[in-house]
Amino acid sequence: MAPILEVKGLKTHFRTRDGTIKAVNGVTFDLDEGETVGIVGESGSGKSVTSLSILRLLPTPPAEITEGEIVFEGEDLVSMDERELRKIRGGKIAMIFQDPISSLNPVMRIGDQLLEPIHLHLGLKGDVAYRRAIELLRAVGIPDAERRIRGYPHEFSGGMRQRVMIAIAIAANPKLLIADEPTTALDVTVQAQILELIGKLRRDMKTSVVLITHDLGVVAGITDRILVMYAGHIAERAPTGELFENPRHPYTLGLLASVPRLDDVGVNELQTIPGAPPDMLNPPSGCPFQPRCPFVIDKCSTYPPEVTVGPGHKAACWVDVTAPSEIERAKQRGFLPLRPVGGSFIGETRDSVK
Amino acid sequence: MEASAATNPTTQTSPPSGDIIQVEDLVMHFPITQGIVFQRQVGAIRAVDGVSFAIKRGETLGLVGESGSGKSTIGRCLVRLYQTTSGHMYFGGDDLAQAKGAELRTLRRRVQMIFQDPYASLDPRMSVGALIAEPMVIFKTGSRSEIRNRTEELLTTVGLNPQFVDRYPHEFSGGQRQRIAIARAISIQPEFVIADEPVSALDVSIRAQVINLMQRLQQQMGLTYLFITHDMSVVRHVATRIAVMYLGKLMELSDRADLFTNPLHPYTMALLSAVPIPDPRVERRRQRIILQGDLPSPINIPKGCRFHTRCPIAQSICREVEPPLEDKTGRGHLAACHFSERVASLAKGSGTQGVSTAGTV
Amino acid sequence: MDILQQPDAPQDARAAALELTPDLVRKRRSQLRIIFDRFVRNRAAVVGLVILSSIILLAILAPILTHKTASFDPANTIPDNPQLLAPPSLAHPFGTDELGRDSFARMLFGAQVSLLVGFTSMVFAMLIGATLGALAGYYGGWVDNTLMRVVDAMLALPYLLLLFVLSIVFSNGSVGSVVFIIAILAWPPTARIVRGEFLSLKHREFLLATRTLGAGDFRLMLRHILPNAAGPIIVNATLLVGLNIINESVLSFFGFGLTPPQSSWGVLLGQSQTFFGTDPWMLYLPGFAILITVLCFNLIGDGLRDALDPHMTQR
Repeated sequence: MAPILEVKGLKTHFRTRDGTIKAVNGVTFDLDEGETVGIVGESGSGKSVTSLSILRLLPTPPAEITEGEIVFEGEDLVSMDERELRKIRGGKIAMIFQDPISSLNPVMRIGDQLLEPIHLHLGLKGDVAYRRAIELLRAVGIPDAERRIRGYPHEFSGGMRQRVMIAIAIAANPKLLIADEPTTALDVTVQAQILELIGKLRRDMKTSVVLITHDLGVVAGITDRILVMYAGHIAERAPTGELFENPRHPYTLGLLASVPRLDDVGVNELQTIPGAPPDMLNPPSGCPFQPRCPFVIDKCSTYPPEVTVGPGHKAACWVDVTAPSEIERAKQRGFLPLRPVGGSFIGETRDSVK
Repeated sequence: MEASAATNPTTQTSPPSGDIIQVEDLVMHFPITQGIVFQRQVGAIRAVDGVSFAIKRGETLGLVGESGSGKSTIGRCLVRLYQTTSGHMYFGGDDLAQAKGAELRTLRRRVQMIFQDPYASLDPRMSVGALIAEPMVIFKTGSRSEIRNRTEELLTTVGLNPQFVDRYPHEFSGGQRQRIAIARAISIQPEFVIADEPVSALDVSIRAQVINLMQRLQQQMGLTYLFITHDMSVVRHVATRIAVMYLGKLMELSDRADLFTNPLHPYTMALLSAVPIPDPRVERRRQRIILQGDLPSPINIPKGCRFHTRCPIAQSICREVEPPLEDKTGRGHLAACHFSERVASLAKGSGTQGVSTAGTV
Repeated sequence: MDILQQPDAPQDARAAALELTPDLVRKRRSQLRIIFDRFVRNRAAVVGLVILSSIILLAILAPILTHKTASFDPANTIPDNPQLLAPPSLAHPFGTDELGRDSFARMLFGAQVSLLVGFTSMVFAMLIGATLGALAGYYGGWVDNTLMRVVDAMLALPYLLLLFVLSIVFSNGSVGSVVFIIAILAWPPTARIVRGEFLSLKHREFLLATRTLGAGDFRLMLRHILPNAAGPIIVNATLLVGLNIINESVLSFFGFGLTPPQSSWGVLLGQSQTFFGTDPWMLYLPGFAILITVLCFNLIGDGLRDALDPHMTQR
């Protein structure tokens, strides 16, 4: 099957008064039809800039796509003119943002905001369009949709607003849905609702999804593959199960070890990744993770190529982090291997696979 | 650490010697007024609606809840950023709720707070040295040079270069700023520290650093923490006991181990089941309890049990009678639910739920 | 206490050690340097500053500069052999006035008075306005209500009428009385700006944090809120000097302010009315001086507004 989206060597740079920020610095990945890919990273990793670059939503200046192609259904979005691009935005590719409060127009009724993509991309008018809008609100789980469609955004809770955002996003049956931290601003119980909704829509509509988040827990349950980004590069990519079971990049290892987990079995101290994410105005030369990396070697002063370490599994690291000698060396620098997990908590169903 | 002694804070007995702070029936209502010239009260936001708990010296009480639960308001009441509507907050022999003037000042020296957002909680126009020294200057803990030396020592303690004293907050990263805020809070050697979401605004790779730092300081200085957070995974890691809050009231209060293996309130159960775990094998096995509907408005709190509108096991009695927060096990596991014995059945198909987590406490 | 020396120091010690590495630290500039750098980027503001500095310098050097063009107390004394209303010449670059006094000398000495009045009345207006605004914004409640209603009342009255009535009641034609009247009229807008700043800063988290440390009201106001509100206050002060110079000239033009033989730009404007038909430069020169000076103050104010914006201190 041909991939629906191919990002090839994408470089998005910001020119600021204080220098150039290489927010995305050579990112390549593709996405198959119906596939869900998670992009995980911290602030400054370039995960959001990558997603905004796909729809060319970044203001130029200061942002500029300096290199690379973004091929969607055989067409390069980077060289496409604004008019054609508008047909794709909200039509074949839709986007959900982090903050449902500022993503909706406060002085427009929910219904009118929902009708916009229906008019623009489906060409439906009048009653037909209105019925479609109500259907969409029902589909995203908004109770009493006939009445709520006439409401204004401030009458909706945060979770309900995010549902409306999703309804707007899926209004034109997009081929690709980009969700940028869709649950970060929401409470956990609401997050569970929204993630379930995205999962359901993905199954029902066969939409491909790019899910961008900083939360490893969020991607664990819902994605097929994961890309881990650090300082504008893809540090590691792997099928979801493989990434968690067999992480091969020191940054991924560090992340997995330092996040407190609900199923921790009593550790008194969390492993830490020392230091802080790099200042993107003056990133370290070579591998950007090297100042924080316990596995660092001399070679790290040049950026490592991506090495295939398993089926669909690549890591951009000079060091084989599974080699016992390397682990010994890293331990000297305070590295602790992954701590035991699998502690029990109720709410987990251990035996039955649903 | 021994299992938590059964301190039932709803009973008005004399304080056990081990408690550093006792909150009794704390109420914080924010009035809603109408009119500009002649203001009249038309209602109240019932942010905290009658909460009682005690914290033992040296322990960490985790206070968890979602946005709008009132958990941060409790923290702010404890440092008297708000004048409470009613209730008591006994700290030693003094009532924090009533303290005024000089008494309040001395109490403030013993109770400190760490805020969520280190970008907002440090004065951008003050150097790091001046920020850390400020509490010591206010309480005149020593001469100018003594304070200067102590400031540099504190910077080292929290893992920052003492040469940074003359720099300004904007030159630091989020994690470094939170370290500065912590140094500031511990500079006058408080006994009790309230941490309001201290790691939520930080990058994931930085959170562990700050959590470890706080735990190390707790051991070194014998601090007592009230750790306010929305993150169940973090609270499981730091807290000795955990209080779960919903819409202005405590739903459950228990030992950490008990809460995670044997929750007695359906809301706690829903919270636990909603937290994603960074492990696809575990995630695929889990079955979530998806709560229906939204959090009701704190202006118009449902009658009876305030959770009944979203509760998966609510019965008619729940709409009428508000369940008291009471000890359900005889071992200090408090829950406010009429049907706490049915909560375990919510985790359908959970054959083994009880691999003991003895190592956790 | 020094964790770096402990052999069994936990993980954090390592984190600490790594945080000490210098490459995590951005090259630094002092706060003043940052503000200066940003101010200098604004061309118009720099031009304004240069022109204004020259005007101030000319005013200060007036006695020396005018010595050659007039061999007598140049500003006020009427010469023995007056050349009345002479056009510009080498001896009198701006000509002479109706009493034969050197107009260039009158202009420079007038600049001294105008700038002095503008500046001192700004200082007084800022003192009154900032104090009342700070109290209103910080304490809120009835303090705020009372003070702000007074401000509203002052702002509701017709400005010029108030100016003239006050000067009839209080002015005796001295510099002091003019400064007093202008300051009385100029403080209410300042009070409003300062109140707004204090009100919004009061609820910022760093102030809550400092309050929980046990800091008192004065410490919070003077050490924390004021430095953070300094930007808008300084900008306002700059603009106010320009405005006050205009007010002085309005008063003096209509004869309510300073009285001849004192010189100020306003007085010179007032005198020129009679001779506009025959000797228009007598009007143009002080008018142009006021225009340029006020424009400079406004340009500098704009530059400072950008330079002092706290949102931009992040970078």
